[in-house]
Amino acid sequence: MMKVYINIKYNFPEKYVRRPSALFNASYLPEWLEDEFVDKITSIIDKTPKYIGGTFLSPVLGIIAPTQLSGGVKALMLIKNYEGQRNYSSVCFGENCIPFLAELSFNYDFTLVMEHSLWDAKVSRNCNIEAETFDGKRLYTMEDVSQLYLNERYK
Amino acid sequence: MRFLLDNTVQVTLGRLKYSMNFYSKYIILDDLSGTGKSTLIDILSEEGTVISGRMKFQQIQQKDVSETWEEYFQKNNPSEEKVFFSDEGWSFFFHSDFQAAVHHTNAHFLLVTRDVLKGIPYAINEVCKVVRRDAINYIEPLIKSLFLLPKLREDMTLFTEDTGSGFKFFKNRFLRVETLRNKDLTIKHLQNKENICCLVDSLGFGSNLKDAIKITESTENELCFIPSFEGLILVSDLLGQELSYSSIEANKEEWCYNRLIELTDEVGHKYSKSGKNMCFTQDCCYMPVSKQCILYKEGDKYKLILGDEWLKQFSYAFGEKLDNKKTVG
Repeated sequence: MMKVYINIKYNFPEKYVRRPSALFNASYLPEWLEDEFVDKITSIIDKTPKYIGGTFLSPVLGIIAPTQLSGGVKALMLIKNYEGQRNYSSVCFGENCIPFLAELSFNYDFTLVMEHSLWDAKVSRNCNIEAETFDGKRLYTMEDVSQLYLNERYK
Repeated sequence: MRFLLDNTVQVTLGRLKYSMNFYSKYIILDDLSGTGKSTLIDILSEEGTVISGRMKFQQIQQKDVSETWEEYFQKNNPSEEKVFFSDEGWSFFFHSDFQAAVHHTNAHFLLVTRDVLKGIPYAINEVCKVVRRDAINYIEPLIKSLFLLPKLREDMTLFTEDTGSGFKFFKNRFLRVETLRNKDLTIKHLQNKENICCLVDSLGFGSNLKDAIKITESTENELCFIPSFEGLILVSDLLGQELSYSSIEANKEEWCYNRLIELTDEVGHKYSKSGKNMCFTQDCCYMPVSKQCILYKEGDKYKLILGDEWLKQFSYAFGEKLDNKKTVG
């Protein structure tokens, strides 16, 4: 379940991640990479499929280590694998991460602190999620999440 | 619209190449994940990176708690050839004193961020993305022009930011014109009203750009961008000016206003934001021609001339044929 927190309305009391690279680089384990989900997100978001020995093949950078993947991919892997931190800012994610955030919401508990309008009109409308606001209001799509943020931000 | 300065920079490390142009004060890099934003920041910090052009790059570091952000930037020799850069996610982006210091520092800034930086009035063509072509990553604006004029429908209501000169000008040319009274209400109106077009100042709307575009993509509402009404008059044939503010000019709207005041004072017909000067808001004054009407004189006729390109765009937008020259007398 994804808990959604609108950071304009309240001061979010706990620490949350805005720069996933440092946490990922210090925490990831090789077994995190042996996963169909990782195959999907690295191929689709970073255009960088898995290569051999825990490396990836980037069309721009060549053979790279997991530490050179994008911040959005790292944040998605942290949500899936790292129990030590469950709170993430929306600014960790570009719009191309939306379908994968939605997928994670059905199987993992984490908090998304909305600090920008993470929204792509075509994708978000059709992206069902398992989510609710911090005060218990149910949310059904990523569009619901972004509308909530925009309504609060421009009230 | 021509940009007078070519501050093109090529950044190369091994086979990694980036190209960007600092014709304006800011590059706000806001793009999808995996497009190479952080890679650019990483190589700018490397010793072996080759940077062409005259710009000098310096990464923004966490400052001492004892100094202000303004002191931090002043200590680091800001200039027209200096670019301060930072990757995304730092909490200091939110701080009002950081944003104020960035606004007041005479240097360029390259900021990778998805945050809405309300305290920094950047233009719509300063919000950029990474475009890869022929093995080079180009940092390009999401919207290249400061003019963006949609096709307007007859049943639409046009909203201007305030009741100044711009409101009066469009009131004479369009059926339904209202004012937001507060430009911060632009997004709220786009969300909550139907069949509207919001006319916004492209010179200062950058921080709201992506939110506004996202809302218009899912509604029937439209956005119309012009570089402030004063900027519009400057570039028209009336005065034939270019928006030649320096590349590190922080307040471009104020620059346009001051330049317009300076130029029109010379011809004895000073521009006024409140719209009292009718010659800027209607085609030609309907009062008897007086000695003050010397904005444009051809023979014994007095004319208000607007640029062909400008009129073509507005004719398209407003669906009517606008004459280039209106005469009286």
